[in-house]
Amino acid sequence: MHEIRDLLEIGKGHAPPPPYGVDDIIAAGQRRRRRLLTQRIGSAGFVAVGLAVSGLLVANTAMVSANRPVTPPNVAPPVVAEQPAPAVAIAPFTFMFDTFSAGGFRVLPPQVVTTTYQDANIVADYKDTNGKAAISYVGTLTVYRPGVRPPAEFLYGTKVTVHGQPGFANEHDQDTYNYVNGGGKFSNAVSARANTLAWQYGANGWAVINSVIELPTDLPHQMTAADERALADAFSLGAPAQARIPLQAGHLPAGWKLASISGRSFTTEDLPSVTVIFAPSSAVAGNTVRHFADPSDGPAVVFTIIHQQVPPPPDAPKTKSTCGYFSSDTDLSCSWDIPDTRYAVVVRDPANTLSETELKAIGESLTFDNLDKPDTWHQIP
Amino acid sequence: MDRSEEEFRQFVSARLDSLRGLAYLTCGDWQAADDAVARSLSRLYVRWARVTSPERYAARVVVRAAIDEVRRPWRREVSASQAFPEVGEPDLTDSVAERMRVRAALRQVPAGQRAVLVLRFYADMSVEEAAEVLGRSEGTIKSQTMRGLATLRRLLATQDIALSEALKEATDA
Repeated sequence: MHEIRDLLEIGKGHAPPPPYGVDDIIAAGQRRRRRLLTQRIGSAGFVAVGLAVSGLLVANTAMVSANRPVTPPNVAPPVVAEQPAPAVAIAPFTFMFDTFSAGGFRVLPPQVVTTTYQDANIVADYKDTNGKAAISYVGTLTVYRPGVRPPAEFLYGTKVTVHGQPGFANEHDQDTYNYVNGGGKFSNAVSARANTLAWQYGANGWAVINSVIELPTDLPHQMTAADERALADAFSLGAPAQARIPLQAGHLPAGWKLASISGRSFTTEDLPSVTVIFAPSSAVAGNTVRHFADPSDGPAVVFTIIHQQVPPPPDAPKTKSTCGYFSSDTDLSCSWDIPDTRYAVVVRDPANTLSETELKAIGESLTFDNLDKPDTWHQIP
Repeated sequence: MDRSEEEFRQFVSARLDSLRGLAYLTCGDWQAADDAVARSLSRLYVRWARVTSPERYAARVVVRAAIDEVRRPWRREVSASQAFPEVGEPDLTDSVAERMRVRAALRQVPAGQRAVLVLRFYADMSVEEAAEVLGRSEGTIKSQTMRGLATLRRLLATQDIALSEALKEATDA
């Protein structure tokens, strides 16, 4: 006569040696964390986390859109322009500047574009311990479309003029999320010291540089207020470049429209993913700044395409999805391997307003352009 | 290495064998079990700082991942050498033969019932804990325990293996 516990032990028998060790599991966990960060930050519409050439996660920016000052300041009245502001026009989903440098810092081409703003990462170039070229993310440049007012926390402080136009410089505390510094140190939801420079680049149009200058953990590269000023002086609008998206959704909730695009290819030194967000047209219209990947921004469906280091097995089903609460207990997502590619798409519903059935129906309606040829992706009409 | 990572390392070192056993008994395939455990622990790594009860969390995700593993079509199509065999292999030593017969019986217990039995009697979980891990009601866990035991007892009987009658009491726990 057996007890069931004994029987189960008998049934288990002698386990074969595990095919991995603790180090392998930790390495897998670190890869998962990087992937989630990429998805979360990319989908949030921020320009945020970057990968070094070596594959190590090196840094994240101050994230203008993600970080919120701990103490909301009083908004100062604008200073008077020294000269008439040039009239500018920027169409929605249009990139209006390119990479440029000042001092030891470089603004990468903007990666995020919405109906209200575009975001670019600011990096410092350096050599890693192996003498290999690497970049450390130190801040962001956000350019708001004319008529769109930046968050109030950026419009206070010391009054400055940039190219004869009014602006503000301030240093403040802000909550920083998913921050990975140049040493690969990860911190989340910590209070950080940050510099902000906001100025009017044209009539009724604002630009903001934001950078973390002090963290509880090490911060190997950081900008000073003077560095921010040098970048602002070097900034200028260029030729418009319409954004492109590599996917089409055959099925969306009625009335939903394109809301945000993040990422322009899979081969840049910047974001290694592309995120496209759709949201109700009422949320997309108007001049309110939204990032759409935060539940507080309301309903949205977030598509993030990632390049898989390990392709799916050849006998993997072509259309099977995997759904679950992978990055939080309330953030349902479904993922698919994109057939005949090394890419996968993750479909998320940050506000948790869609059923799993609806999310799957949306994901299964997707069609993709050639992901390796960004020039052939659909232009935004 | 920061403190939390060192704690995670210690947790995995201490629990890896039992989690692998849990996964194997749930899905009946060592390869699938190892995949499920690796995937689950990498998830736990990401959430380590926020998980208040890592043992419970690990058991939950491992069992669910193990159930998912056997549902994957390409898993079903693969005849894994280390999976529960279809039938016993009689020409081995007594202990090995017994193991094979037990595995053959376990393999025939429906996956949901098998998961409940494994959690209750291998992982020593209460009805309430098993319900939380599997996301089912306590009533369902009790009924699945009862049915699973009945199924297993019947299957084992065909293999000339008797299961303790005292287990009936466990269904009421």
